Amino acid sequence: MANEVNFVAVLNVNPTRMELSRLKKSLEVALRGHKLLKDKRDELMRRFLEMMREEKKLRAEVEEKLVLSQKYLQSSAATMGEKDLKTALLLPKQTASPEVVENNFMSVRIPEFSYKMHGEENDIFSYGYAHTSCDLDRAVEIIFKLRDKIVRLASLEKSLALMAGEIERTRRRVNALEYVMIPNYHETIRYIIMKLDESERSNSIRLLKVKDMIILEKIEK
Amino acid sequence: MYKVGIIGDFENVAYFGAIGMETFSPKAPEDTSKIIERLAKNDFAVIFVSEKYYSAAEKAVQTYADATLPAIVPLPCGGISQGIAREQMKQFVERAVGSDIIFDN
Repeated sequence: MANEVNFVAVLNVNPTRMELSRLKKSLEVALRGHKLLKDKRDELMRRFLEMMREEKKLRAEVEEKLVLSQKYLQSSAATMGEKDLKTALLLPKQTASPEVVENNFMSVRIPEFSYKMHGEENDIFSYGYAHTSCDLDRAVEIIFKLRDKIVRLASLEKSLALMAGEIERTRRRVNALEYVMIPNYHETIRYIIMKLDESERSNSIRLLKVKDMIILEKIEK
Repeated sequence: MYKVGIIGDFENVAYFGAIGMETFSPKAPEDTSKIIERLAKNDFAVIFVSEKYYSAAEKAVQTYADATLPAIVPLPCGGISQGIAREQMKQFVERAVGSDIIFDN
């Protein structure tokens, strides 16, 4: 490509055999690292897109139901009055603690939450039914049914945030190796080989010349 | 033991208490960051934030962006969704893939 910027540069090294074998080893490591990082990036990307699709669906569902529950809540506030509503919800019967499992996926630590409630099972209504609107029951019931999905959404979104960062970093590393480091190594190795060959040739030419001179001297004698 | 909390106007988030979440209502949107920081130090693994307060809590959200815990998640509270989460996910896709190939349709 004509417009491609050329980053390839010969590294600042002495053209010696020692340096050559060191560079060859480094090149091998860089190539292996490049392959591994590329695989890591591809796998992260595959999983990321898979999770993103799930998140998109789940987010739409959760938001739809939450908005519905909030409409019920607003309607109950309208019938009961804000004060009574606040009183009814003041002392919840349940406490919740999410269980957190940290998974290591391609060196990204992604959390997985599951919703655990401590209280009598299904005893979610913190009020007597006499003075409250049935819309409040509906609102509470919707979010009770939605609890697992909400925390699943939380773990998905957190994982996606962490993975997006890791993919970006990995992509940078892959590109740095592919377009800067590996070509530089190749170029430097070529340079050293050329230098060594050149000195080899000049050495043999010098020997030939010296030999010629000695022969000439002998003939003259 | 981890906890789960929700931040928003009391009348909108109080009913989350019924399923065991701890509810917090900032006096002003600017206080949200402080509340999030306090919760993060107190073993809250998941912090839901009402969309109304989420944008005011940019600072705290950034602070915990690279940490595994807590997860700070915007939720619509108040009967209408502003699509803040969607915007955020869009940014993640752009960051990871280079262009938005999931939401762009």
